[in-house]
Amino acid sequence: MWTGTKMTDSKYFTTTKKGEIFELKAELNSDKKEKKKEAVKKVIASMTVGKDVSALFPDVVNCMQTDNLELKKLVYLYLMNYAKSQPDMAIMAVNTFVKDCEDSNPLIRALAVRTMGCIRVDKITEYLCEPLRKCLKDEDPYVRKTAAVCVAKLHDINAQLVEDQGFLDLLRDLLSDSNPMVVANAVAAISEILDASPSAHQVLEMNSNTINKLLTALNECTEWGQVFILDAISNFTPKDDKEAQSICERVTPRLAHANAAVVLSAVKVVMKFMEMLEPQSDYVTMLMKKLAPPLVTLLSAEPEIQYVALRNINLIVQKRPEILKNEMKVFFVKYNDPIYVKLEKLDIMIRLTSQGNIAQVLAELKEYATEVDVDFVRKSVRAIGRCAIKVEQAAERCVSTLLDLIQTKVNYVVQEAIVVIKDIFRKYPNKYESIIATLCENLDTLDEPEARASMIWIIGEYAERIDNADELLESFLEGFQDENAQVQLQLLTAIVKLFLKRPTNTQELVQQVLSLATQDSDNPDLRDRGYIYWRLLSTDPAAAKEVVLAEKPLISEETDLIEPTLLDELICHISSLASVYHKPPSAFVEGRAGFRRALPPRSQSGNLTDEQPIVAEGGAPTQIPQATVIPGADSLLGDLLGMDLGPSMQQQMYPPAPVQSQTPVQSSMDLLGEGLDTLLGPTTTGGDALGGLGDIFGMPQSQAYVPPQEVWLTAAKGKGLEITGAMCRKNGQIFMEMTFTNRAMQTMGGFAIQFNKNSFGLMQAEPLNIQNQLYVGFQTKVLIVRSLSTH
Amino acid sequence: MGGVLSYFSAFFGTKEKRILILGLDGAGKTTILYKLQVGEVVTTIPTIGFNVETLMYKNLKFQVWDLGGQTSIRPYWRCYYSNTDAIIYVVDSMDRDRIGISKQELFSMLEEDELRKSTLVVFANKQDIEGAMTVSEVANALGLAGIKHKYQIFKTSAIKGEGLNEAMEWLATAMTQTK
Amino acid sequence: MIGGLFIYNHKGEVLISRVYRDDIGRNAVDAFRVNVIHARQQVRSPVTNIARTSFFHIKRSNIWLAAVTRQNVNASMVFEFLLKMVEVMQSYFGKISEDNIKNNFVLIYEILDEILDFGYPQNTDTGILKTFITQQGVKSQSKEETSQITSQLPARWMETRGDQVSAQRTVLDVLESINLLMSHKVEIQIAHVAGRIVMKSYLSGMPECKFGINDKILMESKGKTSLDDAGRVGTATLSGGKTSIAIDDCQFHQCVKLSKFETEHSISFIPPDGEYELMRYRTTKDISLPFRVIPLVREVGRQKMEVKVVVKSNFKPSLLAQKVEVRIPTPLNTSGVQVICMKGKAKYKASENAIVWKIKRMGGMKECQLSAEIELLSTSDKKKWTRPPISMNFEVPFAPSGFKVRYLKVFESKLNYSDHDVIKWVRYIGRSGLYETRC
Repeated sequence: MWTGTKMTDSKYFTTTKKGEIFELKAELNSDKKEKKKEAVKKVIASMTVGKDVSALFPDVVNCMQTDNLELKKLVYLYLMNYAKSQPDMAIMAVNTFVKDCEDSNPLIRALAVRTMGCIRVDKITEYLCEPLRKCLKDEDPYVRKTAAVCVAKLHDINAQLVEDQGFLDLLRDLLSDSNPMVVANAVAAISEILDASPSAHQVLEMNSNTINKLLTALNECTEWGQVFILDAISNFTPKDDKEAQSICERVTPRLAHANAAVVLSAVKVVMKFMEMLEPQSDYVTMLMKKLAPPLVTLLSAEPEIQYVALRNINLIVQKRPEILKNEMKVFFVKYNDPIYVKLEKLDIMIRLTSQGNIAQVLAELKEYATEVDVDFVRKSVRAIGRCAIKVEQAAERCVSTLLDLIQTKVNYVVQEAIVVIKDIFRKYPNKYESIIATLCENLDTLDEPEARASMIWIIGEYAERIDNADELLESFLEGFQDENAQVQLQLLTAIVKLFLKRPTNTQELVQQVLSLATQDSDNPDLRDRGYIYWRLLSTDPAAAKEVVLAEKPLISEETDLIEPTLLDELICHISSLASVYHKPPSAFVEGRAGFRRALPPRSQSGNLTDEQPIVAEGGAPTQIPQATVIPGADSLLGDLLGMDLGPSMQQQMYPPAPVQSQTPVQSSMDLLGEGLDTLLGPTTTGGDALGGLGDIFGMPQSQAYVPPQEVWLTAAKGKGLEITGAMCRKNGQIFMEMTFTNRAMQTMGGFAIQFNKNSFGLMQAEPLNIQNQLYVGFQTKVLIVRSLSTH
Repeated sequence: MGGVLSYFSAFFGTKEKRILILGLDGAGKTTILYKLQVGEVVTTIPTIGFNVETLMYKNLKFQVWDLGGQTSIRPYWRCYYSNTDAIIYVVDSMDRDRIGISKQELFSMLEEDELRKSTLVVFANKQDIEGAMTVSEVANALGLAGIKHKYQIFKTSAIKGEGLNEAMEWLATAMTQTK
Repeated sequence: MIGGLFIYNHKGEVLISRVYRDDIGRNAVDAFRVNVIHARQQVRSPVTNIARTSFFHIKRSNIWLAAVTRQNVNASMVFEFLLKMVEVMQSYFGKISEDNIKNNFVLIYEILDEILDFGYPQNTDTGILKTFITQQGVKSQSKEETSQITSQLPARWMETRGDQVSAQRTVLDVLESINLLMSHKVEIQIAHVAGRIVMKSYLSGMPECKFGINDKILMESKGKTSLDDAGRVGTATLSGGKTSIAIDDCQFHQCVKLSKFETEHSISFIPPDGEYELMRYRTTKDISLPFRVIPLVREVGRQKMEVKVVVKSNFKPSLLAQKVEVRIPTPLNTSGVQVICMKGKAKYKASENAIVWKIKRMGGMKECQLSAEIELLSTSDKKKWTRPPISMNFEVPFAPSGFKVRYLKVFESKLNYSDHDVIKWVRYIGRSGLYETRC
């Protein structure tokens, strides 16, 4: 009966009563189609809100054979969700799938083949092979494109079955299909299968011929199809620079597509293949010119797209700074930008800062420093500091801007400013000390450890020019026990400096701090440092002076570059999640993470293809010769800083939640005075020294790629001492990691290490630190920080 | 076409009769279903699951369920028993080896409470093949004499279409009488 | 690829949940609710990683749409897809709201089944989708009908138009959004125009269209033949000169032949039926700013502020700007405002912390002024009020970038009409995007 007002579908969301399942069962078995359909709708609604309706499986399956397409779709939807929970009963659905795959209506054939692949029950997959085979050769492209994806689904359930049944060949054949959408889906399926099982390579390996077909289909398929194709092309390694160039030529028109994903995937192909071309050639120059406008246009898209674009642009400007060097203004922050866009823009602005645009940038940053969002303001203040360090000519203006900001008395602004001013002091010693007085005025308001520590460092470093340095430090000392560890360490060092600079009247102070550090503290770092100073001061004050007050190396400009091999890998993943997280896929994708991607090597025309190193599929990528970026001299200091100042706030400023920032801002503060760094050894006695250091340095556990160690000295040559080692980068520092194994018959001791002069300018930053004796058959691991010589 | 007809009959309130076609695998159930529905012999593959079709016979509307006969599927027959008006039980008259199993399945099915009131028609199928068991041989082998349900057995050949009409005729009459 | 799609209401109750991949479980639905929707802090990123599962989300009014994955997916594609999904849903049932979603959940599942397969986006064009997802649910169709539908899937924009429309028509709307950021010193910090060309076409058959604009590069290349090698600079045609503009970048609808644009610098396409966005472009050079805002803020003691704002219109006197609105932010501790303006109406809106000044119409080369006295409550808050910029809204009947449509030619060889028979309309509208002046 018609009951007047028409009820809407939302009513299905509200049924919650007992006996519901029983009622539904009856309705599902009703003769009336409408009633049946209503019942299935209710079932789907319950399913959506998370109720278990698996008990209705047989009743829903029995509704499968219907000529009502809407009902059929609903039943199929149910099946996809519950087949796994009723694996035996699921077999009752097979015959309907088989029949539907032969229906005269291509929409039904496609629907069946699409759903079939989502029924993940081992027992029934074998029955689905024949229908799938037919659908792969269906006369209708809509069915074929659906069947292509189904092969990937089946492969995910049972890879062996797919290979045994010859589906890989059928799939490969679809790459030559006359319909571009079929080609695109086949490409997507192939890419996925290749990612999952390397054994499929024999059949599915792309060659120039297939790439050519893909490029042809590119012009005609949907936007998504274009993305699949471009992503697949980006994984291909052209045989030489000519091929690379011709692919680039055919891909660049995509840069004008309205879909950001098409644009970014095209950018990825171009960025990758450009590596193979002659860097100075006109073509490369032209390519780079072409890349800028579409990248800029992405910034007028929806904020979420902007965010992805900005994360990628961050990589692109590191790899090829020329591309966007003149586009600074587009990265200016708009008042209404979401915070995640603002933070990313700021990051890029600093990367693009140069002498030419510093005035504008600085004016902007000053503006941002008065905004509302605390993280953004802090980052802006920090950015001003980075500008000062990057562009010497602007340092003075930056300092005066920072002073202005300090005058606002906004607490977190002041604190942030003091942290960066300390960096500026490090970069330009003896230049801006006149402002110390202003800084000291704000002493009382500093409540964050990093700011307190920075201020204390400044006081210690310039103790001779601050008349009341002793009073100031003493005032900090009163609450010593309550201070954060980094502040305590800092205070210890600062007072020792003060003492060395102004020994009169400060003796009591230094004794006080030494006793606080050594006797009243549970912190081993603090205790050890305290003892070291104590010993130094009591045995040889002159040496102490030389060590603690030694001249410090300067800090460099770029402090947050992504490590080059990682950067190259990320360039190969432009537009993907890896490029958003700035992490290799292996860091966030479980299990089957395939092989690492690397940029192709430069190629010269005329080179024989077989001489080209090819990225080993499934294996290690070939090493690509790349200019090594040598970390700034501050790296060591930054590291020590990392120990004391911790990663605390840096991380929350970078949006992707669990991903730790790749770019900790190096505040570069020398806590100990240069010479004393060397005295800082692993604090854990015995046990794994590497682990101990890792902790001290506050390194995120999963962060760095650690290459396997190689044998550097065999036991035979080393008189029983075997050394294996590897160079690695962690947090931007170069480390030499070595394992010493005693394979001789007696205990070894008295280890030392010497670095000869080398072209990288690397030198040892701390002595070899091995426990006195290495017993027979024992191993010990050491980690040596290496730094640059200042000359 | 059938769709339109069934729509109208439903409109006038004729209740559909629910019929199950059961029997061991390879007995010819699917062939019988489509011979009845479209009057043609269609090529079939083993039914992994079920077929359901609506067919009209003398103003009667039947909803006919053809269930797969494989060992793995037989346990699910029971899911289809409720509200069943009649069962067409198909036997391969050539399959002397499995006639015993066929009997077992038939009897365990008839014990089900839900099928208490259902009518039974047995098709001794594949009579077109030489050397097939006769109707009485089949009836004996199945032990039909011991059945309490209303039943009848027919010799049929689905391929040739022989015996199907007679069987349906009987079934239609039997069902109109019971209701 | 995308492993699952969830739609939640503002409370975090799930309205739609569709799982495409086995690695996404029901717990993912809850993880997003707990960690993002119910998170105490404001959302800091549109991408969230929770226990190795990545969530991409967008929000429409108070509805959350989230895509979930455990793989290294193409992130920009996921967001483009979510946006497209919203567009598709809107075209079926209008606004994205809880009620609409609940009322159409069956339809949404049907759409989701069609536009995403195993997490791979499929055809999302609403025109094509509507041929096989109809509101009522499609009954089995005859073979001819369905083959008509599926033959459109090659995305070649073939339209089967049974009935010939007697009048062949096209309407072109050039819609520009002009963005400006002025510094304190009334210097232009950022100015750019984002333009869209929306075309409505009602043309029979499958005509090939050629579209000409006054872009420098396109006009220069007009002079040379397509056989010319790319390096040579073509001779400009007589129309050149000042009338051309420099487009920084442009993007085209799926139907435009991009390879032709690249090689021959011509915009040619076979138009789909109805309304679509043919082209998007961006310019930054020689933009004529329709309005200038000159603010003057004076703090008179701690409890009073004086604001004076002058708005100057800078276009032909014969033209009229409409819907002019100036928004002057006021401090949070404002207790009262007195406003005087010579033209339009101005009101202090306490809930929005702003003085809103509306002028219905304003001719070119005019000047209007507003002055206000703002009284402030004394607060103990040490933090200084950070002045948000003064923003403006308006609509003008010209394209601030100088963009001009030069021609639109329609070629249909098979049917019986020529370019002259097509009625063509062009309309220019310039609207304010973010039009801000810092004060």
